[in-house]
Amino acid sequence: MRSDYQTLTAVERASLALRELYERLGYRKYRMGQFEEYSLYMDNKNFLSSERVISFTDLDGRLLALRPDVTLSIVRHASEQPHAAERLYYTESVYRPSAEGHAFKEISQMGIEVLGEIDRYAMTEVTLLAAQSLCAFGPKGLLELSDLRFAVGLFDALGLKDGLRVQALDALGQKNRPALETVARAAGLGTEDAAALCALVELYGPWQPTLARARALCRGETMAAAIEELASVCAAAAQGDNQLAIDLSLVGHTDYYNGLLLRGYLEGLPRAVLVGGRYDRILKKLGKAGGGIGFALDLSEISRLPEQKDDAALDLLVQYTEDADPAVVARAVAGAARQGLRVRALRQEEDPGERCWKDALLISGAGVQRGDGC
Amino acid sequence: MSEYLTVALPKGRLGDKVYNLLERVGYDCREIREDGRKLVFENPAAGVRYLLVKPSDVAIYVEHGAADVGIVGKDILEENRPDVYELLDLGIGRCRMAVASRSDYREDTSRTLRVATKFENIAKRYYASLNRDIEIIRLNGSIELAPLLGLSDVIVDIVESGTTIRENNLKVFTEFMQISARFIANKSSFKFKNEVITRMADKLNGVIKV
Repeated sequence: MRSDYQTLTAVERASLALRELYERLGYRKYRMGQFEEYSLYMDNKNFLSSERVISFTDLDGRLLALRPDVTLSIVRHASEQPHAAERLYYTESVYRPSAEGHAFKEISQMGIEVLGEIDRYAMTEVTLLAAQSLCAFGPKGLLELSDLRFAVGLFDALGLKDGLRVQALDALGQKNRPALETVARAAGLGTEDAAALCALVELYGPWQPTLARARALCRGETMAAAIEELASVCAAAAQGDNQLAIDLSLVGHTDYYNGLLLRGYLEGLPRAVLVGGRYDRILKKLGKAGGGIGFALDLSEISRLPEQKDDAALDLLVQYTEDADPAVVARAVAGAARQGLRVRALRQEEDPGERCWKDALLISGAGVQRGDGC
Repeated sequence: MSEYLTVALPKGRLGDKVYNLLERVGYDCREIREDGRKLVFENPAAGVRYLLVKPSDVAIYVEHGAADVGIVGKDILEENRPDVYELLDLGIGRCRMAVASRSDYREDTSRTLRVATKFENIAKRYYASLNRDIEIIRLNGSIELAPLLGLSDVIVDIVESGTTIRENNLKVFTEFMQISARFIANKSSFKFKNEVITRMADKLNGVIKV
């Protein structure tokens, strides 16, 4: 007997489990409207990965858009909680241009947002939930942590100007040491400063030794604070099956994030499936008090994981002849479905295709005969 | 070793240089040279599987995780900007991205410049940096013909020795990008196969420094 739960895909089952986990920790489901005011995205396009948004004029003349980002909508619409952090989770679709297909694509996302007073515990809780969320999808997962303030703090200390700063951020995102060396030369950095800049690409690996190496590079309070915060969050979040690593070359979207960064990977999938971090700037830009932190899981990407499937697509194949009583066929099908079996009725001469079945019934005017599975 | 490291390698002229480099650091590529039609080669001793693909497709295989690492020209990376790690400049296959035209060409800055190229994005970015209005004519080969036949004012293309340019009575006016082969890695593979990828990168780095 199969329960309805078993007919779900692995991703759907994991999503339900995560929903339960988030609700147990006090996160409220946030359901958004399908559309958003287009102006929200045009006024805040620095926060988007692409300025290209699907827009249309509604029947009342308002210019609306299909959401390219969930966080902006939540920050705009969620009510402010004085002296408290609002905890929300969502399962929504976003619409973004595909880099390769020259077309928009719908991406199914699940995520959490904490808005308001963001303390060290809130950061730890979100990091723990990010690690647990990766574990829910089965294969080996890895959560990488970084803090934007470390790389930016070093750029400040080295006196990198705007253009070179952008080049350095690009090079870091690609772990491109030769490009960082070019930036160092262009900025006229001395040997020691150039080595410090280039060392950023090497700062990845298990959290404890990597943060120890990073401490040696700290120049100023901002960088030291970033490392101290990462160490505290990692120490609390490194538990159970959680796999944590540090990658200080991870800089993310610098207009969007301003501190802790999270990236999650699942073995077997080619790109990050979890993206998140601290985004206080968005709240400030939208006139809200406090800060924000959260992450989003790309369920569309995760659904590409190979599924463990039962070989038999059907539990019961009901074949019937032309002289069979439709009521008898209907009773056989309904009875099997009530037992939780996957059942399909076909005329005897119909080709069941390549589908497999465990048991078969042949119903004719003469009665019901049991057949064989395939 | 339980799992192979899958390496996407370019066919053709750059390929020969890449196979030499890999052999110098202990990754045998003899079978690739011997067999003209196979596209997948395994080297169990080194724990690697090679995929032989078109040079412009190497980064696609790596970005989508069909290959863990690959070797590809900087021109392809600049044109397509794949989301991969660019771990090393291997220093082989050196050439330049250049603007060329007929040797008697004089630019008329009062008109939109017609640019023939197969590197559409590189050309657009270069002329955008000069704030020059251009019209792109996208070609897939024999780019040098375009200015000779009046199809375009200039071409943006790769120049290695300059022989093709000279033999077609063209002249290089500007070189604006240095190109060489790069060792790239898929971002997820870099996390889960870090030890083997780092080992290969370190070996390659040792040779290119020498």
